[in-house]
Amino acid sequence: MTEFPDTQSLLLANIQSLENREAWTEFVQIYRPVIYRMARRRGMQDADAQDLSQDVLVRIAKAIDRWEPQAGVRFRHWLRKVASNAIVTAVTKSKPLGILDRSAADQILADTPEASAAKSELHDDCFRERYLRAAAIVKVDVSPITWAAFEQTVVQGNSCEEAAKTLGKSLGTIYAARSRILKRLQAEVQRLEGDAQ
Amino acid sequence: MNSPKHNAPATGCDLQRVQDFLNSDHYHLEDADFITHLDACPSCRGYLEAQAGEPERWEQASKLLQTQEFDQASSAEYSVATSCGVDASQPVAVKDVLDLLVPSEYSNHLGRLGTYEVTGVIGVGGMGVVLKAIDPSLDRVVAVKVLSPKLAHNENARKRFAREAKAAAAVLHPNVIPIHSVSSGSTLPYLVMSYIRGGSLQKRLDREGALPLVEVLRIGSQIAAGLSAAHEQGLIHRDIKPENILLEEGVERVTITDFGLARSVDDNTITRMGSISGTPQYMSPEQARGEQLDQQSDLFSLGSLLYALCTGRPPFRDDTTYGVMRKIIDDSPKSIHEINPAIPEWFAKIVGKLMARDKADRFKSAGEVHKLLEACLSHIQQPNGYQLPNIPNIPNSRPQPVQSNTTGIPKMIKFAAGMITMAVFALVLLPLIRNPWSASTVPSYDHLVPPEDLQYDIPVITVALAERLIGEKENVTFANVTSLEPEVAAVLSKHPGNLNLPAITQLAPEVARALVSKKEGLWLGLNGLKEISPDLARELAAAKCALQLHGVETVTPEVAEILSTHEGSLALGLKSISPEVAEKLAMHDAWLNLNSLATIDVESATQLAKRKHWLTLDGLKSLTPEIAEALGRYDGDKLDLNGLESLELDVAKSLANAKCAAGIYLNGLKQVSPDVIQVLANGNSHLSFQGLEFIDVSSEQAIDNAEKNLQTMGKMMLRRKSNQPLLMLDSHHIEGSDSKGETLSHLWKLRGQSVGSITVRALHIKDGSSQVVSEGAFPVEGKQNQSIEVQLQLKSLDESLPSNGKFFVPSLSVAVNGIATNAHEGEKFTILGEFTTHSTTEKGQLNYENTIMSAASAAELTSYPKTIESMIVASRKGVDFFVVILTWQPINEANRNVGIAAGDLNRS
Repeated sequence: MTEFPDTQSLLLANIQSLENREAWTEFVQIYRPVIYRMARRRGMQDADAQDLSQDVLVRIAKAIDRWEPQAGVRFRHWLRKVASNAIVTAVTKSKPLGILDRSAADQILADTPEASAAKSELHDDCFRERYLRAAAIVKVDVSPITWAAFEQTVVQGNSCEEAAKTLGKSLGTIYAARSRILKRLQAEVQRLEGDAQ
Repeated sequence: MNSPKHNAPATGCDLQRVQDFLNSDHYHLEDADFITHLDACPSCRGYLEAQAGEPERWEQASKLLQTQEFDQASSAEYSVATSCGVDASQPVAVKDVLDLLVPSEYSNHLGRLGTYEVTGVIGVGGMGVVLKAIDPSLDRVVAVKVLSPKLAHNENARKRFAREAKAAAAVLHPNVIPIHSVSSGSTLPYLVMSYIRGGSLQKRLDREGALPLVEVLRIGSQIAAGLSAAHEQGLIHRDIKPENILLEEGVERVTITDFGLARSVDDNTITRMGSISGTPQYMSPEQARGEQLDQQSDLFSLGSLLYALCTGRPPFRDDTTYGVMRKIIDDSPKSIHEINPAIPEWFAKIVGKLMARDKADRFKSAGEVHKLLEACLSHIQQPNGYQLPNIPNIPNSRPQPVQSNTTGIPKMIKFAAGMITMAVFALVLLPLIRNPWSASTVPSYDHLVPPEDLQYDIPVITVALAERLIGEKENVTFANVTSLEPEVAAVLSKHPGNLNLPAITQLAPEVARALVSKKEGLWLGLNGLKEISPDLARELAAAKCALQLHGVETVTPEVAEILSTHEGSLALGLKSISPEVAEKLAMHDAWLNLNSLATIDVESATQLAKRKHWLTLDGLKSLTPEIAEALGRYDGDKLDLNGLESLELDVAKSLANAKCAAGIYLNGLKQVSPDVIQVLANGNSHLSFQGLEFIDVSSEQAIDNAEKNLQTMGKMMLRRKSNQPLLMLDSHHIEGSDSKGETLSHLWKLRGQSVGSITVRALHIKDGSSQVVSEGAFPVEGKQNQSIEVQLQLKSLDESLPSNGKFFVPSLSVAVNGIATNAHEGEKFTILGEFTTHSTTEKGQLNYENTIMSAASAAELTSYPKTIESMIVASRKGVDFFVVILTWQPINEANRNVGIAAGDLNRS
């Protein structure tokens, strides 16, 4: 049977002269779902939104390929700025997507209310995506019961007493578990944010 | 959500214990006691939660981790997407499908799908699940392929699935699986195929390893026949691999299945660039690159499949999907014969042609391959009845394994001790086009090139024009504007593109203030400015955009200090720099470009190395060990030293100490020696060697190893683009003897990649002048591993001269890809007295410090750059040089103007 498309690898293979593959891999993991969601919220169909996120990522990848930036910014910064411009332009359709050249990071977007709304949406969504990634990392690190204690009480909003009952654990265990996870989660988010800085 | 309520620490409880508990990552034995205490102590519970995070943090977690609309699987399940490899959720997919089946009346059946009674599961893949089922109306066993429920609501996947059905149903051929019916409208789209008892070719390969040739031919010819039928319908399979080939039990029939990714040639609306599918190991290079596919791509995959059948393993292997794809693009597989000597050369040749990197070099059609393989099969089965068919030639034969490198360090050949040193100076490398590829772009991305410049030749800018520019994103150049009014400058400042004012040589501070007042993010070019006063510097430094001041050749420390407060990138045309100025510029916190600096002193380099941001010093042509040591202390973003033309080992050692987040760029290096590569790769930075044009084979291996080494440390090496020409020196032989006056011969064996044509020129440099002995231009066909052999001989003539003199005739011959040309002889010359000869090439590197010293003073010679000019100067001291200069051009710009056929060597 056929494997489902592994576009991640494909993007990597397309980029021969990529400065920092690790940064890019992480970047795609965070940004792909973000672009997708932003497109969907603007009324795009699933297939179109997927195409758009792919398209934007390919464009960004190509911009990286010829990275000789004009501004003295770090690679990750530059990448985020290029991405931000490309994504906001793509989802707001303010101008045809196109110019992602060496000075891409320097380009100023038309400062429409729509664009600035999209920018802050992008920012928030990226943060959430990193948060989700952090959760994913913590989740596999802890026992399923510990995670369940956290999820039931914090995400699903059940009381600790209820959770203690459903999970068959003492109240202290539930408190201990969810506190520890929150602490870990914050540390992990900070680490991911730090990487992204 | 359930927020924590208590913040106050309880008296009498061990608060440190709470901290310790939170700070440890894993459970310890004593934690049990603490948890028992927590059970009973509400205040410790409250304190614990307050210490874990403020109430906002708890709320943030609650809010962000809720599933949101349009979350994709990877987000919704907090699942970190694996970058490649097997989808861990596959067993879930089976369960998901089975859960959706209608319960069956038969207890031993898994359920019902439409009218089909499901009796088992055949396999699972990315797209869905294949079930074994009974078709009650015909009472036959069928295979039902069900689109995974997760994908069923994905429009893309549905379209793809429907396309699979349509494509496959259109092909009626014994070697292509028949499709009986399709149901794509229901909640669970599925298609019904013939059930083939037996297993996949992959299973057989796993079980038996390499197959005998007759089996390979039988299977191969049937796959080719099936493909031919599909291709005639305008379909491409896109995923030919052993797993997709079914072997029917008891019958010698091979069936191609899973046209899951097949598509009409003109159907590019759904699967766009980038979203390409296929198992990487059997992918074609064009598929791995994400390019447009055609039927030829299936032929490559068929070649890879046959390779696997002959050797028991796929041609390209790596731990990661990415790695496999890179190898498909860059590498050549090991020769079949080497792995399995039982496979005859002629069959390896067929596989080689199928797997030709260039589509045009493959067979013309699957039908042609089918006929050829059938004929081969007949020959194998009845060698007397059938002759082996003609195997078409491969224009580009697969590359040969790297020949072992010869020692490369020629011994000094002494004819005798004496007055005249005759040096053969070998292979000065001067490519015709300095960097012919710098402008190349991937064709489909042409629209991404930077905007065109708007150039105005008018001498004055009016306010009206400046206002018009506010709406223009283009880069604007005013080539003739020499002065600006403050009002105009204020309006120009709002232009959102790059602004270039090269003719302005003086700028009043108040005009500068107006000019930069609104500029943000883009650059401002004031390259006509020669001098900058402190007042002007203050205004410019306030700019929010990058500044290009390439005309500024000197600055005072005071001005440097002011400029270093500029928050954006800065380019200065400094011709020289003092430690005081460097110290100030070190504080500048963005990209600093000092490309005009051709030299630098140690102290200034030490100061500049303190920078945290990107530093460009492309004007430096060489580094002394001391300067390199100073620059080695740099640990900022990126260090550009793209002007360096050579890099000695001790310099490399010092540079390797630099810690550059974005790498050290050495794109000016055309050659590099293995130990230099190794030293740099053990350093702390990414590396870029995009300018390499000539290396010897051991350097190539060193570069490969260094790249792997860097990758394990998470670093990258930027190398030449795949279509950039590269010449590799395999070996250099010298023949001659130490007795007087014997013929002396130098033979260089080279391999070219993407080299379209070469020009070989031999020079004889003596008595302060240079003359061409012979010259010729040669086309070089093919892309990979072109073989080029250049031989320079100095034949001694028997005619003897009085007073110890000797006649010599220089002669040059060239062989390209095995086709030798007639040697061209130059004019004979005489050498009087005794002399020695020295080779000045060492492993493809020029190296004449060690060899010419005896004739001219070492200091004199080494102070010259290694150029023809330096040899001409040296020749006045009594040294003769023979130089072979090789120039080359890239393949797709193969020199049509030269037009000299192989075989001619023109005397110029």
